[in-house]
Amino acid sequence: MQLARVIGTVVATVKAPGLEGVKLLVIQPLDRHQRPTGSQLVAADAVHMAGPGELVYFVAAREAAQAMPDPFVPVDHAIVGIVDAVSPLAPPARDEP
Amino acid sequence: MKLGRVVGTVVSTINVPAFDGRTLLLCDLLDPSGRPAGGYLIAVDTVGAGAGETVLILDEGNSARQVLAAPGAPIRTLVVGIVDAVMDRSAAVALGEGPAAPTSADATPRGARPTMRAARAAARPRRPR
Repeated sequence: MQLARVIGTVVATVKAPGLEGVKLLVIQPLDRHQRPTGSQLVAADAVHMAGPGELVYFVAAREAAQAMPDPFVPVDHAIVGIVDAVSPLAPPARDEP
Repeated sequence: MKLGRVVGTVVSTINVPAFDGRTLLLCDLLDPSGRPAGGYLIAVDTVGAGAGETVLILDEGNSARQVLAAPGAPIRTLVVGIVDAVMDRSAAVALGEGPAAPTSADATPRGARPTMRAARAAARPRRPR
């Protein structure tokens, strides 16, 4: 799972069977400092509550379809949670040789 | 599986029900010598790992669901172990919580090396003559 920012929505009227009623969002994956990294993706919204501007985490590959009500849908990225906070746990200072 | 270091937690109240009550850890990926390898993963904790700890990350869905006994959960990445040390061919690399952890030089004092070498030699399967 990785962090992403929702940056838009996708409207599609003709979709593969099983995707009716599934909300599709454009997301920008983020690195762990929440800076954009990599290319933007279209992800299905499995929490039904994510919207543009929100910080979310998403799952990729087969697990994305598992997050949907029907687990046999053609979905390869799904938003599975909305992030309230990322609490950094500062690692103790490490002596590098 | 991958090596990682726990650098944070992700707090989330609105999520897919499979994540209810689970702790999400933000883990930097490490190379075998303990240096950041670039990239990170958000993983579900199964061992109670804490800040700065080096952990073993499982990043495969079927195994993850089997470990959690949660078939059908959209979970693929788990923290499944806390790493004490990684042995490579020449030395043990201690991967602890930072300053408290011995450096690689401390982990393999000179006197200990022949013992380790002997142990490895004993573990190595011998070819029949």
